[in-house]
Amino acid sequence: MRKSMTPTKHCVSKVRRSILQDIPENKETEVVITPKTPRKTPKTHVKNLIASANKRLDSGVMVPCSPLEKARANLHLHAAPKHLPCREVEFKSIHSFLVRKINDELTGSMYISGVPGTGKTATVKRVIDFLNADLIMKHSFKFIEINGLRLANPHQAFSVIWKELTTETVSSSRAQALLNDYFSGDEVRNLSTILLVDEVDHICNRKQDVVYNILDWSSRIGSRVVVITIANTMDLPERVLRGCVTSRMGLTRLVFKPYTFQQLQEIITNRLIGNSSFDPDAVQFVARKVAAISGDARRALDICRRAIDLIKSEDDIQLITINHVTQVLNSILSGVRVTAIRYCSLFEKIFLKALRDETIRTGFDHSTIDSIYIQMKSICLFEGEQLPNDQQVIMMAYRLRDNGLIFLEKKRTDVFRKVSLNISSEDINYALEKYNN
Amino acid sequence: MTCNKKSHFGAALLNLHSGYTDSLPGREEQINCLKSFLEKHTKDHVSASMYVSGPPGTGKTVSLHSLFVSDLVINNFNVVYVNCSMIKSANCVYAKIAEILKLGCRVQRECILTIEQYLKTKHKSILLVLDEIDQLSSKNQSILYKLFEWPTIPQSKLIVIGIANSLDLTDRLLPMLKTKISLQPLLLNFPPYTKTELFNIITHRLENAGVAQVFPSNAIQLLAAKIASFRGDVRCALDVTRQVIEIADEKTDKKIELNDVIAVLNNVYSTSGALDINDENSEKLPLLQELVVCALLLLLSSSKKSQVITIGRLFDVFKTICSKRNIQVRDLSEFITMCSLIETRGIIKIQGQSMNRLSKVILLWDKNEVDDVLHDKQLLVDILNDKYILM
Repeated sequence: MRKSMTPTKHCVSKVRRSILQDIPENKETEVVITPKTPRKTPKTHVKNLIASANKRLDSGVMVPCSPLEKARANLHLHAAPKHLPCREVEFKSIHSFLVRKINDELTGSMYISGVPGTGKTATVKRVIDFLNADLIMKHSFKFIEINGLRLANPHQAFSVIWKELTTETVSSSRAQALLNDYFSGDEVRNLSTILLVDEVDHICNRKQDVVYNILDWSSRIGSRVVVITIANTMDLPERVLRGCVTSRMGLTRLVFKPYTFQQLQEIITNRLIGNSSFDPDAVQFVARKVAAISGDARRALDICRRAIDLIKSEDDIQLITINHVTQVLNSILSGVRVTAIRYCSLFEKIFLKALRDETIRTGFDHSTIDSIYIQMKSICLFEGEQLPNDQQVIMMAYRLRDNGLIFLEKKRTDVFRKVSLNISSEDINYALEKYNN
Repeated sequence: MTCNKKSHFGAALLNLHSGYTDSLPGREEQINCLKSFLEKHTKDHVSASMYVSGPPGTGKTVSLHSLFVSDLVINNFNVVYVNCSMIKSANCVYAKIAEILKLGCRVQRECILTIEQYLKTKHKSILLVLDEIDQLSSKNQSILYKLFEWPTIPQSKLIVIGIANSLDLTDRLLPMLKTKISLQPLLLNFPPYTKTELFNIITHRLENAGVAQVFPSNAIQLLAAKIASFRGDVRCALDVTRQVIEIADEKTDKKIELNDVIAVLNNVYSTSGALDINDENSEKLPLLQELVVCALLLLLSSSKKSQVITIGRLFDVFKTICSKRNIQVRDLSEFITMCSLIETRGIIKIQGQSMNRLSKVILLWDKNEVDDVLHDKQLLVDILNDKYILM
């Protein structure tokens, strides 16, 4: 009763209390390091990185960082800038969506999709940071984040959310009941709750009751929950989710497109401002290569970092050119399969050769161990090797299967077992040619 | 920044929320049917069961909830509402019912016995509503059978109402219910909303908010017609209306035009739309992914209908295309990663749990739709006309 009589007073006191909570106890030490939020800001993280890099470079003595070291720290994923380049439109639409829902005290849900490494989670986090920077906004919402991949099972999501809300640890079924009461909308909440569900496709179990529950809170009017769901698949609501879940998810969708090469170039150069250790051509080359395959920013940054590592191991060149980047790209793309074939034993190689010849001869995708054995016999005669017995050949087939180079039929275990290649015949040719030379 | 100030259309947005219900235009018939069903059975204290079906967003739950607050139900019934999606497992439904009836028991078997005992004794009539009842289906459907058999207990004074999406759930899952006339649940179907009903709902809600004049009626009509033709989901319609209002809210003159509605609808209903929303100059698919799609198109155009396309076959064709254009050929695992990226766009589907050379690849989109996505037409034509690639 008292709550309903004096709603404004209650609000104010709550706000004041939470402001007070934010001020740390020992002012002298804490305030200097953390300006506003208790969360680690990227800046301190970069500092830590640089420091650790220094330690590794020269144990004990702190020497000033070389430009390469600085570049390496800046290119680290955690050193993401406060303002994400090339995602301004998405930032704005998420921001205005959240601000409107918070100000109007409404509920809502938004689905964000896009291939990996396009900055989906990062953009949402930046929006939240931006809202946190605003003093009035900061105390009108509570941000809860769950990640589908970090949960042991989908139902655990409830206990994680409840723990974030109240810091109590309860079982998932109890948390589900408590949360359903909490967000039932019967009594109007005085704080908005922003719930970020990352990798939502991993909490879609067969019954889909977890997603259903979470989205159903946002359809109760008093709950003031804003749900942001993130996944890779563009048409997840239509393809995976049941009709009643899709209907609750609503139609507010946002697609993060893969970065184009111009955007990737901008991202990398943006992180290397004031640092001339990268040749602009090399940056452009990386950007173009990555944009042609996936447009994944993480990938592009990784390649740049590896280029720096490569240089460090060589000698003290201070400029990374297109050649270094090409080396890295080649080492990434040179194919594990070819390497795997090269490290096979002599008879395993002959086995693969025989299988290749057999598939070419018959024109089928698969052949049997029996026919491979016959084929091996002739190869061995030709090369002057002694033919292993059939039991050894079967053992070889198992080893190759475990390596992932061939497939074996599941049902049978005898010599008429079907075998097919998991590599293209060109790979075998390529790998074995090099070996012979 | 205008913080903590309700936007111009705040009231409208609140009224358009799907959780906001004061009246239900267009559902009078169904509500009357439910009401008469309840009245009939309260008068002579007879137990009965009912199954309510209808696609999502047609007001099934809301209609029942509107009855819960009516005098008829409050005076005569003890309402037990269970949403079967919100309980941990199907077996927990008994515990939940017992909890609401305040019977005080925990163990499942004990709960069943206590509830049945309770039904046999003298008590106030019970209205048991089970939302999303399809979640309760188990291997031998024992739970559903038990729930629908309870009304046959003499003196039980129990009315069971099940809600789900599928029209024929009782026929499909519970064929044994047909054996007894008294067991057969009454069926009530909520059809999808029609154009006029959606129009009435939106105008009614806008009038409530007092902003009806801002939204031109022809715009509402277009919106209602479009949604009704798609699936008649009122949540959908309200969501689109909200989005239109949000667009108008950002403008200076706060006027809604027909174009805004069309823009939002186009944004919402187009498969490839998400790829090319409004910027023409940006690249639509990364180049190599485009080549993969081209290779798939090429294989599809030349192969017979029944032939399956495996990743290995696709990779071979892709490699030929790449080597002809002097593009560095990549490893198979890299290729498979690329395929899964295309899969997330919904263009293709890869069958099988572990993706390897033998997994099948299926094109999900229409060929014309794929053509729209590929922006380099010249390249596409070159590849598709090059019959030597498949040799």
